[in-house]
Amino acid sequence: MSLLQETTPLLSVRGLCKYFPVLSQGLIRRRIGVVRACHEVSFDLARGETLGIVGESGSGKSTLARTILRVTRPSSGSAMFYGEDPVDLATLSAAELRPIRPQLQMIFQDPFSSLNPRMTVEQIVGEPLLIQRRARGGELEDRVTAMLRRVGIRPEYRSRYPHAFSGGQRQRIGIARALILEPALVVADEAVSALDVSVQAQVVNLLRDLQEELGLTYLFIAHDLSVVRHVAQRVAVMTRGEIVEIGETAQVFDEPQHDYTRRLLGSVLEPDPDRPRL
Amino acid sequence: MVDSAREQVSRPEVPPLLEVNDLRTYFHTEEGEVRAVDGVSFKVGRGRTLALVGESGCGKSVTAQSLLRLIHPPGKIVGGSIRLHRGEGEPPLEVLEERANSPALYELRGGRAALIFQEATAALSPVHTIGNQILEAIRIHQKISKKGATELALDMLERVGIKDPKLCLRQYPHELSGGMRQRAVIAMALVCNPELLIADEPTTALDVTIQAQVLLLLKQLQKTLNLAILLITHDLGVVAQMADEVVVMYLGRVVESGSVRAILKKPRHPYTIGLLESLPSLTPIGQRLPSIRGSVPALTELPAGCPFHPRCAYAVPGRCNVGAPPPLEALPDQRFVACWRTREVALERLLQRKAEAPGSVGGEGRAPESAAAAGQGAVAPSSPSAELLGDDRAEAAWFDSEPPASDSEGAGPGRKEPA
Repeated sequence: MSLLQETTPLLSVRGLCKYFPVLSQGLIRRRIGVVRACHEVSFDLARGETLGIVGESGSGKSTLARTILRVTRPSSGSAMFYGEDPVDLATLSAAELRPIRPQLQMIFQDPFSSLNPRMTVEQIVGEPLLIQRRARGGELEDRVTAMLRRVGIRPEYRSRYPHAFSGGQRQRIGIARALILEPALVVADEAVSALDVSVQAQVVNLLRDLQEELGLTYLFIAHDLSVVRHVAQRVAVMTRGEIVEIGETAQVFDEPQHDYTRRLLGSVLEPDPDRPRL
Repeated sequence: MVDSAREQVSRPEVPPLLEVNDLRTYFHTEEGEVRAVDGVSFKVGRGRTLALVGESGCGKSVTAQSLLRLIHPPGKIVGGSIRLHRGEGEPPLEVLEERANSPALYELRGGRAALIFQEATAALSPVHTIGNQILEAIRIHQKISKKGATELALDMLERVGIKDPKLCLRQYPHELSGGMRQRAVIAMALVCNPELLIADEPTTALDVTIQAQVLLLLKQLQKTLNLAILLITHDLGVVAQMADEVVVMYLGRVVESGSVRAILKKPRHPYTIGLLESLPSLTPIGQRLPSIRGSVPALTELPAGCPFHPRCAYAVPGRCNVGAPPPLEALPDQRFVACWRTREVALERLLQRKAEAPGSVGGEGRAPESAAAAGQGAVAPSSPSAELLGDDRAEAAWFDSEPPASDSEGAGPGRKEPA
């Protein structure tokens, strides 16, 4: 790693905004207002770090992630990504983005709808390599096998279809697909929220192991505060499209500064009958 | 533990509202018979909350649906009894003995017992106003004028914390936020004055702040209406805040039941222990989360012996993987556990905790020989010393008592009447 890479963050977001127009009803749909899904969001994400993003539904967590990954185009602001070459994700064209995309990957929430039911595990996990023309034939097979093994899916199951797997296994397959291109930044959008607690713990552990092995950087979006507290080194609290508090996880959880953070933390129900919250 | 047991005994004997005994609901599928609920028993008293806990696929929701006879083919309730006690002098309603579509069942569904689901959006009709849907519920169950029904509905909407009930009556579900929709569903469920509320994951789809509000509302309504609540959830945080008693299910069977304090503070069944340990909030930051290995198997592929043994951290071959599933055994603290190795598991955990934090378990344990005892005790289980248990005599006596015999299938003391 060069000096530059050690000292610069992997991702530096400044003043990122995403507004959606509100249109009037009727034939001529005039613009009558805007929804500020993301407003002036700024943060740095260091290499190998996990930044948790918490907030309630509608707070703009997913819009932020989708804007950074350029699923949608930001209204304004910048998102400098210091991958192989520094680029501003916010301003690149679709063609310019294509070679960068492999470095940015996403793990989705619902392991049931995020995998194509008509593709085998092998096809699902190998497809990114084919699309990016990184590998084919024997090499493709070897890399898929290695990746499956890494996420804890037995390579013998490679020709099975998603329906043959449990929720936790499917999420492992989704993780394998996201990681096979060796991304630098992984956005996990509610990646463990749909799983039962015992399986959720397995997948959280897997994500941590993979981060250590592969030096991954996570943007970890979740509404479950206890999971975020466990996986993230830093955490950002979002509400109404804005980050209202950001800091070291322990600090945010132990000494919340913003009213909204306090309210959010106060609503967490502890599994302890001797600490009534209601 | 002793205190809470005494407290329970001294409470006056009120017959519980709902008594479920040995309920069995099977599904006949192409892959064979699926025992979704296999011998489940519990009781819920008026004004009390019983939580049914377990991961998805453990039979919680099928249990709830069975209570209202909402099981459709290929499913069938093949055995057991569901008894809903009525006022004094009246015979109880035997839910399973009513023929399908009998008036008593109509009165039960939505009248004496109400059901609320996880997805308020799915529970409401998108093409009718909230008002029309609540009025329909009222007029099915009560002989009342439209005006009277509207007043009832307005009153109920106000009680569930909807700020402008008149406006809400005219609104369609999509015009309300998730929390408000769930409130409207609760209003609809409670408007006919049910005695029993079955809440199937009522707050799982809601944000934490809204979840806290809705749960608080349920608690307040329970107090004023003396409601019995059967709460189905996988969230042990919700359980801790809401429940009086807990029934833990795994693969259609009860594996542990008892008071909320007993289950969450001192879990005895390895499955309950695993569920609790998997919670990120109980593990210090930076440590790996303990997890239960594997995942819930399909009900068509039930393992032999104890159904939990392939995932159990305490299972031993030759004991746990053969024969019939273990029966529920009564423990001294009003709790029931279905495990062949309850004593060994409890002892191992006592020793483990002692090794981690000397002096924190039982009495003063600072003696150096206790560490050596810990090493041996875990291998060859024996009776724990008074030092380990403190002065809990009942528990010490239980440790010394005989575990249930493996050949007495279903004949264990708690098989028929837990809780």
